[in-house]
Amino acid sequence: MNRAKASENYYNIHDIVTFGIVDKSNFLNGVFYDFDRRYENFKFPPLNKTDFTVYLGDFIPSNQDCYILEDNYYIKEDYFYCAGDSYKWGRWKFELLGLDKGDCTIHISNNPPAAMVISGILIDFLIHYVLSEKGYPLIHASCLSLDNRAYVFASRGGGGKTVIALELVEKGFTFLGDNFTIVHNGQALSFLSPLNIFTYNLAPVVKRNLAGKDKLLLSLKQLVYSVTLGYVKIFTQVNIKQVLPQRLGDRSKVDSVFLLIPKEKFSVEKIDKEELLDHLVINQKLDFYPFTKYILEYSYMFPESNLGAHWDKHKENLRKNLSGDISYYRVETPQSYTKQVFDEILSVIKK
Amino acid sequence: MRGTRVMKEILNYDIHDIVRFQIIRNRKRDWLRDLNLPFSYFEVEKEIAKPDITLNIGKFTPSNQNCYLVDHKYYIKENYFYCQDEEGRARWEVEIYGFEDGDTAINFDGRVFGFHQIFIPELLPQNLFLMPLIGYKLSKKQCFLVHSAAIAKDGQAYLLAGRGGAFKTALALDFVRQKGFQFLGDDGVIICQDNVLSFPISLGLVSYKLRYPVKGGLEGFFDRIRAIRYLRKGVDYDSMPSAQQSRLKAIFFMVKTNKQIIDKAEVDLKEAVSKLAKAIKLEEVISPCPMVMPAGSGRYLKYMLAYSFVFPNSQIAKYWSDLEERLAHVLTAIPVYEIKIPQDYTPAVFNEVWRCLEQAL
Repeated sequence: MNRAKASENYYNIHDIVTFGIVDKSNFLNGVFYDFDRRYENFKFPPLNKTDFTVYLGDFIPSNQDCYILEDNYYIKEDYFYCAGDSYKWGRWKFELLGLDKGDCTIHISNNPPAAMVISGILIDFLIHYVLSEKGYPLIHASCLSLDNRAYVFASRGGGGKTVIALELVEKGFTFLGDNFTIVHNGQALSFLSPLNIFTYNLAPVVKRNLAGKDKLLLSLKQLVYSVTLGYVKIFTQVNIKQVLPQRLGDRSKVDSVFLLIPKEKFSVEKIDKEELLDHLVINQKLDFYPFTKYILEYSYMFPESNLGAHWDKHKENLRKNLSGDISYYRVETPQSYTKQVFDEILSVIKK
Repeated sequence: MRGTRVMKEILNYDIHDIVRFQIIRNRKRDWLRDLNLPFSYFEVEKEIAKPDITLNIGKFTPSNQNCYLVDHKYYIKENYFYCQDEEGRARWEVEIYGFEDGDTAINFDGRVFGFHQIFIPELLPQNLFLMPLIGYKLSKKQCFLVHSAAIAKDGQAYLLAGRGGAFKTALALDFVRQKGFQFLGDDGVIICQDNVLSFPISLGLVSYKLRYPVKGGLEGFFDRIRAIRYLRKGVDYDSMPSAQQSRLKAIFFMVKTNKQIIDKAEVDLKEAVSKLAKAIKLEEVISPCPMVMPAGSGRYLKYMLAYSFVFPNSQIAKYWSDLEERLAHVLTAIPVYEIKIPQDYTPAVFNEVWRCLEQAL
């Protein structure tokens, strides 16, 4: 008997996207899955109909009558089965049905190390995809607001999204998200994911509000990181609502979008919208890299499908929804932030 | 600093007088030269004065100052890329000058944990970096390294294109073995104007497979031992019935399905171009060394994306859409077919494909 009672959780993001996660996996995976914390702020009572449902646990793929690519990907119309993929020690396989036509189901089977990364690799992309299809494109960016004007900071990992967000909160800004931001019709909508903290990015504002248990976990993970010489890096996820109560916003009109790239010195230049869109789309492709490759496989057989044409459509959606009078900046920053950098950014905002 | 100076060996390669490159490595004995140096077919004696690409294998000091940093690990400045990376049993450090323009130099230092470090120590950088860069350089000269097998007869070439697992190699070799065709390549060939130029990789292994037909590669332990013994004897490239260049006559896409039918349909040229271009892109996604790195762990596309993130208007960022457009210019008025084939490769499959090809003639 391999299964305990399945756990079912439902989530709702701004009444735009709803999804369910049904966990029929084993106990060990259950310990490592992070969707409980990751989507905590979207938690919702059980729903009859959702945009997509995730089933975790072993499954028998319905991959009859498929094209087979690389002896690993089974593809037919509106169907994608990946028989195996990996990241470090993590292994997973998954089957995706009905993404093109809506009413989507994904079955995921993975080993315990992969349980830690599966939400980021597979479920986050589905959220992004459905949001984009509904005209609410997601960007990999943090977002703060002041006087109902939103400031969006897009970057790759290590670009300073979270650092800036927490610093500006100290300065009195309202927090809308530190990893993703939804844009729609000239507005930025919050996307409250947990803060991913590690010992090096522990801002004072977070430290003050951290529970004792989290502090202990943090030191433990630092230990694991040191022992494995940096191979195993597990972030601690803390709920933003616990750390920053009363400093959270829901939506604001977008005032400026900043693209942050770490180099040496601080510099800022205005760029045009098309250039920013290129940056944003590539940012998203890199962020969802395993899925970028699945899309490529699928589009090899079905180039005209929604999924096959996704990145072009996403760009078009961004173009449409970053509407109104918005300033776009490309910001080069030093590799570690100093007070001067924050001051410079604040002075651009104040202009 | 060690006192002994390591002797360097320079290997010179010339691909059809279009792209020339050098591999510079510490002089050492090759256990399996054909596998360790898969481009040996293009090796030339004469030292190349101005190579398009130079691959330096061994320790180096990177000049990654003044770079943009992406994802904590990719160091990028104009026309330059550096990173340390690992995947599966491989770990490496690489620096590429001329990442998008001008002459290219790759500095590579890395190792693979296990037997491969002894038998094929230099294969990884060639598959990871030389291969995509050869394709990139060729495309600058209006030639396209497509992921396809090709065979020729009477000066006419037929492409057997398709993704991995679609029996391209098995089919191509059966055509050579049974129907007197010449061999142009089993994993890649170059399309140049209306010609197909040969691009045989590890030709020794191909000639082994031609001699000892095995289903789906070298699966058994004894197969591998026999192959190693065969390759150790030294490979006579001239014994292969291979062609240098032939006129492109038709393209056949092979698609594996888990239905039990063999089915042929005509494909329009636009779709064929899109498929060829996507397959080139996907070559940078699949594992460059399946024995060492897991499926889907290719890196070059990711590196190109990281570069494009910093420079969204660069040639690298525009490469894939450009490629498709330019490929469309070259491929005109060529008949294209798609053949669905079942999961098991049997003589019946070959006969069907042969029939399709005969009809197309």
